[in-house]
Amino acid sequence: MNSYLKLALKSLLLNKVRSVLTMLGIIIGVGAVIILTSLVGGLEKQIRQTFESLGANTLFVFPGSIDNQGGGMPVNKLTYAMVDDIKIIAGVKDAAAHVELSGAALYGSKEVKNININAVDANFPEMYSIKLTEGRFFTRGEVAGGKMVVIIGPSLQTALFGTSRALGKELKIKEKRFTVIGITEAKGSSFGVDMDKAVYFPYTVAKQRFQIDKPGSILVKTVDTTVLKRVQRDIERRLLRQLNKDDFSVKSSEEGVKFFQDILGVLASALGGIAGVSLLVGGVGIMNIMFVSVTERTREIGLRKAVGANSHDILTQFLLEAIILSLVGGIFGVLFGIGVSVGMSKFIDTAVNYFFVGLSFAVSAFIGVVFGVAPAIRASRLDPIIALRYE
Amino acid sequence: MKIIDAHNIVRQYTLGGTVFKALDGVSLTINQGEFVSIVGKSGSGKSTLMHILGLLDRASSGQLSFAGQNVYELDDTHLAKLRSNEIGFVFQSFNLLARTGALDNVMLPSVYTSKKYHVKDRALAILAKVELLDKLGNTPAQLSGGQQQRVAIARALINDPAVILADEPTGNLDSKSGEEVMQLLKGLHSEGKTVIIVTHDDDVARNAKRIVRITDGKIVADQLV
Repeated sequence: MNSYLKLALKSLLLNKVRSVLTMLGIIIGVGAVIILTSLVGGLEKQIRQTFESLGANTLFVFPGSIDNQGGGMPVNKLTYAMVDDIKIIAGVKDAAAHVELSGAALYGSKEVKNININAVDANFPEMYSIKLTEGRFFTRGEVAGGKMVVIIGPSLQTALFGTSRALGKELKIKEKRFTVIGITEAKGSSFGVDMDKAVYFPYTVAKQRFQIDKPGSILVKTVDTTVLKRVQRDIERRLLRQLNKDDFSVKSSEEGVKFFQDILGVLASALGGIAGVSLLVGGVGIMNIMFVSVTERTREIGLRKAVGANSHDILTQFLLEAIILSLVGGIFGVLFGIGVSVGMSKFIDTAVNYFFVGLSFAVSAFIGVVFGVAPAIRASRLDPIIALRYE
Repeated sequence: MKIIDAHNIVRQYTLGGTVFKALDGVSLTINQGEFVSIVGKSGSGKSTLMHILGLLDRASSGQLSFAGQNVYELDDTHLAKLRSNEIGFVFQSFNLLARTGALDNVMLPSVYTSKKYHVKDRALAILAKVELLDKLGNTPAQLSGGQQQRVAIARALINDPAVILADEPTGNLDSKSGEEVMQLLKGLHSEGKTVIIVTHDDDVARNAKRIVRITDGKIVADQLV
């Protein structure tokens, strides 16, 4: 077996360029599976962190039913009054309405598009664990009065004001003038979105100036985790007085994580499967090259038979060549996939999914056998006399 | 002692419904240590006979024994083993592996033999004998025709076979290189190897001690020189 391995390796090394090009199909296939599943893994990690950063004592109220996806966007029937209703439920520490918009911010001639706009209540620093590096939060009075004050993220500050002081300056968000009163701490990016390219202003402004009279979601904090389940039921009961069962969902952060994990699990399998097709194409590439190789080396096969190789020897040699191509391709594919996934983690969250690493590598080894058999059988069946005469 | 004993060998092919007999009842005995030329024109059946004697092909009918063993009782794997251990082929077109050095070409048959020996030492000793020790790493493209055929002869010798079967060994060589190759084959004969040359060239054939003439698949003359 050892000498067969040497033979196969020698033949492959004689055709380095071809061997590498053949392996490329497997490398890309295995790499693609790993990279795509790592991206999904990163997404999952980020979602989990986002939920976890809010704390285990957090409940979310969404419009529509998450469990019963009837298709289409649900009609939002949440109201700001409901936030106050929730606040007085026993065990609720605080509740906050949240409206998320996107739009452009303008200062002088500088414009930043697609910023993340949050219309929030005065309690949002505690609710979302947001800290400031400069300035101050808006007060309950400013919220009640619908004051045009804004807190901005550090990326936006740099983009609009450069190194000059932003506090006290007036900028335009969605064509409305706001005064900057605070700068948030850097949070980095999430799902490839720069979280520091964000602004926060009182929800009353959204109501009065942008005609948004419904909260997008309601965030609830309970006093501790022991009352979480009960509070969740109480909120549901309270909201059912005004709404139907399908009009809203109350989920804990744990349930939120679970919900996204289920979706992402399906996504990972789907993407992995699609990438797996390229692995299959790589296998066909190996088969193709091995057939070419058998034809090209017809005389060599004839000679080997003349000097004493039997059909089994020839079969083994060619099958080993195919297996080595796909296995080495698989190894490089794993290195490539993990390398790219780790490299990408500087820009976007990735988490290498070792189940898919193992699976794609196993498939690549399997592919060598499956696609190597036909050419190897053809080689082993060559008649040595005809093979030796082959030009 | 008989090394090859062929009796009434017939090899026929069916081409488009017509039966063509490449060999038509050939009987031939070759003793160990003989130096035999099989001479015939193109199409005479001499190559077919060589393939059958070299165990690369099976006769359609007839008996063949090799070193006392009835070879047609053996399966392909055992025939391959017999080829590996007891027969060394030398071809007209050398059939060396391209992009492979002389030493590696010589060692090639060692992978398939059941004989035990130190491969590299033996390969170097044989290459010394064919005066190619300074060309160990040279690929066929870096060797002259005569040198390539000497590598091929060294390859035929690596498993220490009883029989050397050479098919037009000088056919692709100039007369000087051809003469060198013939001297090597004569030397092997004098060392006790059975050497069989298949050729169309009477001048080449005369180097042997016995000449077997074949025409239309039949032996027409068998004489000592």
